[in-house]
Amino acid sequence: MNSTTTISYTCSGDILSTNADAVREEVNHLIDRAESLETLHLDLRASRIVDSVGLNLIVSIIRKARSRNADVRISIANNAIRRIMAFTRIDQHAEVVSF
Amino acid sequence: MARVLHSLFNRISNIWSSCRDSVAGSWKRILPGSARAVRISRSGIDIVQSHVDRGNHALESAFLELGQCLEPLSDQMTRLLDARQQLADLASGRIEGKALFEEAVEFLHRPLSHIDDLNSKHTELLELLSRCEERTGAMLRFQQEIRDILAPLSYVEVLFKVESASLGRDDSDTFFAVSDEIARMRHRVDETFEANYESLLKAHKTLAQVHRRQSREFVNHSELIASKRMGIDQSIGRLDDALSRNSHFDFHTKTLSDRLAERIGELVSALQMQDIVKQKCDHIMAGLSSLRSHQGMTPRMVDLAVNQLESVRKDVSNSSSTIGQGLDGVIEQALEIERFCMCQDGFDGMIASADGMVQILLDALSETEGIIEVTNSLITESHEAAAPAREVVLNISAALVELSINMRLIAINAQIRSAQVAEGTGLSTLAAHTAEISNSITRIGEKVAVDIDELRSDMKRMFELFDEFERAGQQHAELLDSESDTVKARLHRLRDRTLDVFNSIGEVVSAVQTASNMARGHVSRVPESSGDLSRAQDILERLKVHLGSSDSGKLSKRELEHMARQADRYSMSSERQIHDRTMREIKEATGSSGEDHGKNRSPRPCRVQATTHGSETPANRAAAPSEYGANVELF
Repeated sequence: MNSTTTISYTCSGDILSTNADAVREEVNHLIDRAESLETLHLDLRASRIVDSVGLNLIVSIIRKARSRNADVRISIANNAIRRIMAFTRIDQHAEVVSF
Repeated sequence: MARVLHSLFNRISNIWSSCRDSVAGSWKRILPGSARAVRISRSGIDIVQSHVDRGNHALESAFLELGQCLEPLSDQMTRLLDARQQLADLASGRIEGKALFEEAVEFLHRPLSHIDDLNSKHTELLELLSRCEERTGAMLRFQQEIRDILAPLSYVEVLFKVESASLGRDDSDTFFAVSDEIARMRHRVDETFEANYESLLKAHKTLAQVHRRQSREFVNHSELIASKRMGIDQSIGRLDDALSRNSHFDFHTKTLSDRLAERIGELVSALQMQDIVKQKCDHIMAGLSSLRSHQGMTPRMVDLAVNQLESVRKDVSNSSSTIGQGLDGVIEQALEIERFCMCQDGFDGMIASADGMVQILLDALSETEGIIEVTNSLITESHEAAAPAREVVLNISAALVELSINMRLIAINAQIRSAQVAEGTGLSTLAAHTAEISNSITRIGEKVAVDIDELRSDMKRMFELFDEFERAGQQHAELLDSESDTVKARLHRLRDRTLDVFNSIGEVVSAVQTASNMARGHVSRVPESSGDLSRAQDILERLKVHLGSSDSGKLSKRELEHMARQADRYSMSSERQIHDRTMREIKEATGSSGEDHGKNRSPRPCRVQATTHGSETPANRAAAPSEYGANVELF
């Protein structure tokens, strides 16, 4: 068990139905390992596309972090994803930071 | 410019020089005093025509390229509006969504009803568990009571041996046999009760744990299901509400579409201005040609061309400015549509959002699957945990019957033997005591047998419920397993489609911006054309000066005829206005009436008028507007 208060997960590419389960497993593992958690940082700067399954994953990650009383910060570099974060109102549930 | 003028003058001068000798006599006869003036005027007119022609061509070229840019822009705007409408329909659930949601809710209805059914029967299960827990507790107490009752048998057994020692061998053996039976029974009872006690204690604890866990989990599940149900109901309610009103969104959408159509209309109108300019330029060119061939070109005649050129220049400037503003407006409207689509104003329950209908149903499906899985697991675990309790109860029941029978047989045997052999001895007393113990056992056995029957009955019902719960749970788990993914996939597809349409809006808006900026580049070339027209105006102004002051007094007949011929060509109200104004100014300056000519040869009315220029007459303003609104002169 780690005692970190901020954990960060960097997604290596798009978040799609094809890799959502693997990402979920890795993020859940990180969250579960953390002894205490204040902020979960989801780094999506390498992502260009997020589909519906990917959105579902992001929502579930936010919920899981919230269940640990942690905030979620999402870093993005792609304008299409920035627009989708606003369109789907994920930016109202997590801090979305554009680069 | 000066170089061009100089070159043209030289060329004309050379041509003139070469012909001069041959035509000199004729010129002297026709225009004895103004030959040079005529020559210069004609050359000037040539240059002016060249500028007007170039200006017109530059404008035509710029507008042609602009038109080529605006054509895809118009297509993109159409795509944008279509995509926006599609997004509105998808995001609101108006198309596909509503039907899909109803199917998903219907699909969820079955497992949720199963959970409801479990919840309703769970009360009975909890009561059974509670009673079984209570009765197994009573069984434990009963075992202790049996032990207490049987405790005196230990000394009865010894006393039988002691008392029978004084008897003959056969009788002694009989009582020894009774003593041995008591010992065996005690041993058997100890073994059985010991094992049963432990099993019963374990069963009692297990039932208590199952009871607590079932109570806790089912309460949690009930709350979760109730909350999920409420969320779905609220979302469907919001969706229905949004679908039934939709007024805000539709109103705003219509406003945005209208504004966009207005902007495009402005652009189209401004593009049509090029046709107007071309026609005006043609008229000016014709007028200039007429002037050139006219023997008595006067400043008044030139003045009309100057005014007409000024009007054309203003038209070019206005259309350039209108196109620029139109392009700004198109970009502004495109961005506004994008913003509106992104925010989905007026749609609280937009289906694709993180808290929208798709997400709610996806969560509900996953959570229902989870609840069914946990419930099934809980039921199975409870079933398995409680199963030994049933065995224990059966064992106790059997042991109790066996004990009661054995005890009765021992007691009867002891009583018969003591009656035969040792009436009134200690053995007789022991036999009586044994019989008392047997009676106590029988009494307790009868009493406990009722409890055991009830416990067995409760357990039977409890296990029936477990079986029923397990069977139904398994069916729903299989159903969810086989069909849930299909429903989820359809929900995802709907959201993906919504996201695709939304992304396409972003791409179109970006393309609109690019196309608008390209169009702007072409618009920036329009002033070049205006520059040519200005230069033509300057030359005409200088020509006026060169021609000298107008003849004082009235308009000459030639002037009036020239003016009337020009007026015949006009097909636009603005041309007629300029003509009228020029004539009015000349009349005011000279006091000339010329009314007969003016009246008889005034410009004919234009065929169609849709212009709303500031200088238009009320009659013109009242004319029917074109499809795209204002500022168009149709021919």
